[in-house]
Amino acid sequence: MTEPHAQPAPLPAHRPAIWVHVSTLLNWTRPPVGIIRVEQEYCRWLLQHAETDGLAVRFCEWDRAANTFVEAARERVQAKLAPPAAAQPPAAYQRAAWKTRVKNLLRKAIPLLPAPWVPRLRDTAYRVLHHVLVARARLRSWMARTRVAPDRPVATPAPFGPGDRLVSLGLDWDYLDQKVLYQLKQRHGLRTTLICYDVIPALFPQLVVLPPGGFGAYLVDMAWCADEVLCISHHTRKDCEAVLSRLGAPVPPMHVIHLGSEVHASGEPARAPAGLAVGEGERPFVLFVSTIERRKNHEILYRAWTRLRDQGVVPHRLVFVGMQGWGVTDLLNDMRLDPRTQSDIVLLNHVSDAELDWLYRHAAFTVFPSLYEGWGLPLVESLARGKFCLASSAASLPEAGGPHAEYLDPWDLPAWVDRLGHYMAHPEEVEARNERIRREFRAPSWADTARQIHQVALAAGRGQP
Amino acid sequence: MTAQRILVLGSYPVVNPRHGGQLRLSNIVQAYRGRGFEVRQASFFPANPFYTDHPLGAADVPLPPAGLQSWKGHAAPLIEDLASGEAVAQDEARLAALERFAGPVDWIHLEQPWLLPVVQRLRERGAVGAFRLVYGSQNIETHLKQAIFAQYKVRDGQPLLDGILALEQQSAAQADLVATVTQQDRAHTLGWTQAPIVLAPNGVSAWTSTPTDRDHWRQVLGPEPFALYVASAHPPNVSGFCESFGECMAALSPVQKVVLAGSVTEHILSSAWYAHWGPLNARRIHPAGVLSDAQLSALRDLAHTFVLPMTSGGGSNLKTAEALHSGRHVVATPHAMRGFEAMADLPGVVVTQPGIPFAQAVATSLLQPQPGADAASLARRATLTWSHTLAALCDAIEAHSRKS
Repeated sequence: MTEPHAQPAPLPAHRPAIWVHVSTLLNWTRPPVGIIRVEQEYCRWLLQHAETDGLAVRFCEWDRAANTFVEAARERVQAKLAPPAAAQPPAAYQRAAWKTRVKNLLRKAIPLLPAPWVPRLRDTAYRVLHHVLVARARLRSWMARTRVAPDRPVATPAPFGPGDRLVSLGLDWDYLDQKVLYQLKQRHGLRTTLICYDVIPALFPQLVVLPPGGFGAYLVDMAWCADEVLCISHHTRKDCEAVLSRLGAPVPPMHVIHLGSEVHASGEPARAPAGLAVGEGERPFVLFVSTIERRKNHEILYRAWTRLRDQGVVPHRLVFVGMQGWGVTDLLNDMRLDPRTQSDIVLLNHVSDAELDWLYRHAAFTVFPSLYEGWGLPLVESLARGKFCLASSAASLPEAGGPHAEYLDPWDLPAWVDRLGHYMAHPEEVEARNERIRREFRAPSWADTARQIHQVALAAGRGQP
Repeated sequence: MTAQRILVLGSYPVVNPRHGGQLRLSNIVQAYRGRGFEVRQASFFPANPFYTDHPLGAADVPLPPAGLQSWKGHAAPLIEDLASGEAVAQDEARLAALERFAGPVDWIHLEQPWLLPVVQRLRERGAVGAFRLVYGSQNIETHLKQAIFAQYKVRDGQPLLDGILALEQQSAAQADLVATVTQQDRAHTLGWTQAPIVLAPNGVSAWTSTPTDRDHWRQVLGPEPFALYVASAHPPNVSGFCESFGECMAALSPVQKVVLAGSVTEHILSSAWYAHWGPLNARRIHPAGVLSDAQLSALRDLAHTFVLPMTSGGGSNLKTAEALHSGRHVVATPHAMRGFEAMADLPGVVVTQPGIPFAQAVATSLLQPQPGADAASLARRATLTWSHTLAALCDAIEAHSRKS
């Protein structure tokens, strides 16, 4: 009698999974910015909740050498969700502090140079700096695209299967070959949920450093790859749909999610930043928290302050908190040299959470005159801290601030002069607005953001066979 | 009836023809010879490397470009064709050489109006006999030059356009027989002449490719279906492509592409249109460039879709004939179908407006299987060959000769 042939064990049934693409999160080494926060919060929420939907939770990252996704260990993701150690200042801050010291030294050296040299040296230095910034941006983008993570796992392609979903919320223009994603989607029927934070390079190429072509390729390929697209405001959704239609790309279903902006106590007591004079005799100040770059429109505030001075008004001080970005060299130079505003405008950089907390608490009110935003987190954060904001009426900002902020055309100088002067002269009106904000405004929570993302991801590709 | 002696005058060489005008002229010469006519062919053209780097015919005369930058005191770029007629007509030595080469002739076929001053001088001098004239119109040159001047922002071009119009009208008026390539051009020319006008559309020559060449392109381009655009550097070919695909190539999926072949390639790649959305366009355009006939034939045999993105220019497009003859998907603008309107209902042919509808039609065609080849379609496609399209012209010359 012969033994019956052993039957091969049946392959385990594929359990549908929700995959989160976490290349950006795993490669991020600096303090989290908005995009990183979205990835972190969704991963955090997903690890707590998603198994209840009957879907396995899995993570993947982009492997450049293999040109495909590989599975990422859950532990690596969890390690990236832990809050950074508060005591250790980020390396980027230390580098920036070194740069500030060099800048200060140079400023001190300028009066010692022969006068005719100064404008020529300055122009040359700014031109070189601009090219360096552009080159640096390109280099970083290239490095992000080509860098291989040191602890890269063996390149076994992520085992996508029928019914799987893929959610990608990060810097996909740096960490993904969308042609491959498109092919994977066709091969495995992946149901993809991607995100659009804004379409600024397509709408306002003059306001960004790099030409729009690279972003256009990303945006269009995103539209081809996505079953569902998340947009961070209705305005972004409208603009994204308009740009894709204009270019002739497909327009996938788009869903608006709102980014969380609840304020958590930093754990440290609030304290005044070193660069700002405080005390009994000091004038109040208006706060603007944002990178100093062309799109943020610091220029309208500088001009408004000069007008107020020309009118004989002694205005509040104006505090800019943020690092210097692109396209503002001349503006910063004007502000530094203009005797009308020299004592009014204060630039602060590398501000800690405790210092930022102090600034929000003590500011008379905040301003946000940006020319375009995909959402407007600084405006919402101001409201979340109970502080009235005089904001631009452009793009998504009225949607972000609702009835709690006041909106002005970002280029309407007389209107800015008028309303700034008004609120400086009527602190009781500002306080009444602050009181209403504290009473009525509810900042969106990150948990809500994650829940919205997940609902869209679950519904992705519902019409597919 | 003795064999008709015909001198064919052209503005480019016909040995090793590459651009559309050369191909048409070359096929006219072959068609005449095929009917037993005794054909001499001479061409006068600017001495640029596109022509002079290749073999030339016995009576091909490259002209120094420096002498072709102005016409009757009006200087402008892109008028070498217009200026060449006057330059040769005033050159007694070249006229004498041409007369020696031609000998006595019964007909002169003037392809395009540029060399009309030469024809007039030959008639005055009488050395080639009392000939009859065929004016071969390839398009309404005034309109075409106007579009080119606009594209290249040539100012003060009106005297030149007036001169071109007069040349076209005189060519038609002095002809004993006129050939046009489209019904529209025929209608336009009717008011200029009492002579009979025959329709002689552009046609196609059959091509074949080798397995080796096809394998090469399969390796280069991958397995995904692709669309093919073959064109010369003629300015309307560049602007037509850019206008027809809209702002960029976004209507094509990440795995779809258009292969550019011919000298149009470098001009599209260096255009502001291409650069504005550079990376996006680069993912969807494969620049094959100028290719040998063998390589081009292989690409034609592998192409899933032929695109015909013409938005300006007169006449009919040789590439339209090739595309329609291929039996593959064809996406064309209405302008590209000039002269081939009757073929618009062939299976797989989509005629659509330039812009997003055009681009989306290309993308859609790449997702569809090839159109079926029924007998009726094959028969209609066969009428696109040169031997069919030029038959009426040869018939008309024979009939005219018999009548005389």
